[in-house]
Amino acid sequence: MNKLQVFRNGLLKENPIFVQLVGMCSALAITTAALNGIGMGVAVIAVLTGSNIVISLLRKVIPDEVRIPAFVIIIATFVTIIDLLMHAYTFALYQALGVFIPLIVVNCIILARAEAFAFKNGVVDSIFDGLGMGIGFTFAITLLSSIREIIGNGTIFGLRILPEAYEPMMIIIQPPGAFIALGLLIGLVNYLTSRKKA
Amino acid sequence: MKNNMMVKLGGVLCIIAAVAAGILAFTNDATKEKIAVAEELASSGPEVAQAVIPNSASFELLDDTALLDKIKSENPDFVEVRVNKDASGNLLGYGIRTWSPTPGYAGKVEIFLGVSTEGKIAGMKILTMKETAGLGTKIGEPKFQSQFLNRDAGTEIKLSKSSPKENEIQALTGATRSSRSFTSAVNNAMTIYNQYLKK
Repeated sequence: MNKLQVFRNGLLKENPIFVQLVGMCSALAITTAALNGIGMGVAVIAVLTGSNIVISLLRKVIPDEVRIPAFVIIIATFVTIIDLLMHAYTFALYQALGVFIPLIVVNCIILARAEAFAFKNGVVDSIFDGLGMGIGFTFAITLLSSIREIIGNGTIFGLRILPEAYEPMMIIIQPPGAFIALGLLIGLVNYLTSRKKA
Repeated sequence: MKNNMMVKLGGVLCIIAAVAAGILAFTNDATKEKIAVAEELASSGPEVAQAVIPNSASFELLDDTALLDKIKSENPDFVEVRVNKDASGNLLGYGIRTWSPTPGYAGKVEIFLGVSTEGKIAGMKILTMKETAGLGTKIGEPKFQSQFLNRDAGTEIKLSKSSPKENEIQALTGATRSSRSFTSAVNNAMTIYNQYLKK
């Protein structure tokens, strides 16, 4: 598999949200505003690429029997670093994302890529895999949160695009709306990709 | 053989954990001061001072610790009082920081309420809330908060779901509990003003 293919895999063909359906917890919880989507996405890209690099470098050193605890330590370290950095440098975003930054530790995308890819492949491939999956995740949750923000609040990135007179559909911003919007979006993506194949 | 394996597995994990701890200690050290500054700026920086009372140049903690301790012991939700002064040092009013006695949809809300020297509400700023994004968080928007402006700090503000009468404000649709919590924080701050600060 060449590098570009590894990278492109995560974007659409194996998109974590639309196709693999992993990392749902944060995808459902924080996608109420487009900016949150981007912020969470960037944090996940950083953690995923970082943990992929380290795990791929250590894949010959870590014994098979203890690989999962080793992965968890490495992932948690990266998440804590990102958490501290965001707290120090992007305070508003840190407050908006709240508890969901530490929860990146248990985001299945990270552990899934460690187990399925980084532990079996070289460093360069793992970097591309991390970037591809991370960007795919970011793209998916930013799209989802943009849709929810437009329909549920009439704004995007905080800018009003629908007229004041538009009465926002509150339910889309609330938790049930996350499931409805995500379901419809996955349906749309599947429809488009299956049509392309046919 | 079995013992050997255990030592090896434990050893590898131990090394990984030790390196991780070292890196984290270093990061924590490097960001500690930045975080303290960011927290300070977010809770009492110039931006907050302006939102609490416009044209504030200084926003210092009230230097009467005996009074602050007294309010704290009698009003558990109270946090602090800051003094707003303009560029030439004239007193503009007080910023009263308090939690809401009535919890919102997700815990209490922490606000700064500005009361001018004439005893009117001059501004406000939410410091902490965990309300639903896009719904309860609208209590932070000017459209909702402007209803409180210029009201007399001596009269309790009540919440109305439909058409607000005098001394009433209109609750947000779909976020009544958040509105109620915010209003209770405003009322608590006004009570503190009337009891302890009004001259």
